[in-house]
Amino acid sequence: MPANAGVRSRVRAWLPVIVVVGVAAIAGVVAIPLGGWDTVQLQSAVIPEQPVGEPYVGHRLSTSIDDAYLTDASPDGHSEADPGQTFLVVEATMEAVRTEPEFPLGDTDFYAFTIPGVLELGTPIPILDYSTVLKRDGTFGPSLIPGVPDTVVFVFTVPVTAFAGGDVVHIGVTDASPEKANLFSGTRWVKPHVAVEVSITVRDER
Amino acid sequence: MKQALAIPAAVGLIVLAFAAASTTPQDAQIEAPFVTFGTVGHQIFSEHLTAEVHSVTLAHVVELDDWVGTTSGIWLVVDASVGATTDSAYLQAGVTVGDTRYPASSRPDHSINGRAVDTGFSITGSFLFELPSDILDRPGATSAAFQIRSGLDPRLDSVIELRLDLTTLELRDRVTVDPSRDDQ
Repeated sequence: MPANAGVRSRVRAWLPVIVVVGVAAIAGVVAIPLGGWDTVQLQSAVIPEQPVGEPYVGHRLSTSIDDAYLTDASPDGHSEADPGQTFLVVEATMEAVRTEPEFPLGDTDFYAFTIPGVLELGTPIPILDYSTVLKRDGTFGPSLIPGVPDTVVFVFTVPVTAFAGGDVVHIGVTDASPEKANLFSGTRWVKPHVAVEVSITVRDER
Repeated sequence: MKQALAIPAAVGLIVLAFAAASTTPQDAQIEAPFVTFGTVGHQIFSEHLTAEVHSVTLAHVVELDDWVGTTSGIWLVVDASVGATTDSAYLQAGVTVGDTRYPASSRPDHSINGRAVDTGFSITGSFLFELPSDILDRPGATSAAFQIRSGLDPRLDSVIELRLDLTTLELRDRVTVDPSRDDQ
């Protein structure tokens, strides 16, 4: 076998690797003046913006974030903020869109919405650090009745330094896919995620 | 001969497997409550409860003591007397319209829902339900299932059920109901 033929066959065998390495090298060189690949935002990771007061209809709830404000007197009418703390109040108009009643906030794995630094998917919030009341009559810990929209007031205890009046807070309204549960009766929610983001200016009512 | 039978036999077994799988009762059927049916104005007896529904009304606003119940939907108000026969009961009621379940409201403090009833005693009061404002146009509104049970979990329990045609009920602007009270 001639020497050239041997080289050609070896190159042919390594051709896929050479092509991949070559493309990666070119992509790397091109990316350097653009700031590198880690600055590229995937279109699939872009979270759509939802206007304040506009409902987002998910698989479990319809939710519109209506208002957010800081106060030292809880809307439940009973609590006052401890020193160093204050209340972040979020008002949302919500409706259960399935065939069962729902709790407005949901549970740790699938909170109805997220607030950076306050309420995150997968991170339990201590039960004493929040409350929910129905705005129309102050019912504590209400359920959402299917097909009956209502405004729910969420009260979160936060450090007094966490937010200031005029801050823009990006509240993520979540969604997930329902599947029939196997280990218990009912629905299990798959892949909870922030579906839309509401940028709302926090008012200071203190 | 054996080879000729092999394929039909395999197909037959597969069909039988599908038939067995599709006819196996689901959890909802296996654990379904034992239902005693009744009608408005008549005493109804189940294993654990006795009940008589006195009246059924729809309303936009319900008043109970100093509580004024407004809603973006409408209220279904069921006045009833309920007694416990064999064990103390923790009264729970629900209405199912189509395939949607509506629990009795916990918003008023003194409704009959959630009240405990001791064995041999009965109480009278109102069950209140928030329903969607368009409930009368929804499938199943002519045959809503109102159920009373003696605890939170209805599985394999005895329940009392009345079928209600919501479309025939009077829709009033405002209804005043009495707080639940122990019967003499």
